[in-house]
Amino acid sequence: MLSTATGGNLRAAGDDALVAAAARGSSDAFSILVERHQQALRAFLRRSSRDWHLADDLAQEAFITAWSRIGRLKPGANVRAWLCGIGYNKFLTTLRADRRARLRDADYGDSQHLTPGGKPEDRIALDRAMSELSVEQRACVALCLAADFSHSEAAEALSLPIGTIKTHIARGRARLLQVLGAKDE
Amino acid sequence: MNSPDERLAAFFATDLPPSRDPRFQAEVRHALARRRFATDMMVLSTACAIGATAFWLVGPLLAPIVVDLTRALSPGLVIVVLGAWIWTLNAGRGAVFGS
Repeated sequence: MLSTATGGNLRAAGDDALVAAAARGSSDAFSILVERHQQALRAFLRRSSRDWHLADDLAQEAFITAWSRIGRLKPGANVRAWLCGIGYNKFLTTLRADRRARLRDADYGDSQHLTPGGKPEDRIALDRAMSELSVEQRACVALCLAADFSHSEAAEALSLPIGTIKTHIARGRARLLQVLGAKDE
Repeated sequence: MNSPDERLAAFFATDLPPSRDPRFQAEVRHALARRRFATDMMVLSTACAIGATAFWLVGPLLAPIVVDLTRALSPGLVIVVLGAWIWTLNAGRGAVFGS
């Protein structure tokens, strides 16, 4: 009963309070942070890695790493960008490691998209276009075009200069629109 | 649904996980519990190993002191333990009968 009440109070708390509580060892507070940010982190990793299962594994690892490093997070820090940064680093490590082959061989559209969205021909073309983007371009597109990250948030998450982020987004967007037969404005 | 931006948004929407996913959250909780258990076990094992080694090294030096101390303190310890036992009995009786 006590833990339910505590959980109820924590649920209304902001990220800063939850981070502080988690840093003091509250797993309830951390669970709420997981609940609050899992969607953004998993969506980002799914779009970046092109592999839903790998993305969910990476997201889980990212949360475990976040738990061990949460004491280092400064008050007022952007938790969502911080988590995406951890996830992105894990993804890059995976790319460099043995799973590289698995990622390279994976077909983006292969049994990943369980939920149909838009026209099938659009999906196939966009899948291919996404897979042709560089890792950094895809990450920028995943954060700023697909999700609602600002350029500065994306720069923080990916540890890239804002100028580079803008360039990657512009090129990525142009490529995706070209696939759809439209010109970038 | 015809503008390129809408088609792009529809494409990206397919990658979006649910806003609440109890299964994923439970997996993270379990993974964290496993990690904490492994860490605790590692810390405890290390502490036990260090303690055992220290006792093994210092044991022969401390043995005579421990024997002397035990002989000197035994009567006093017996009195303290008996006193605590009697006090606990009385306190328990007081709690039951409200005196």
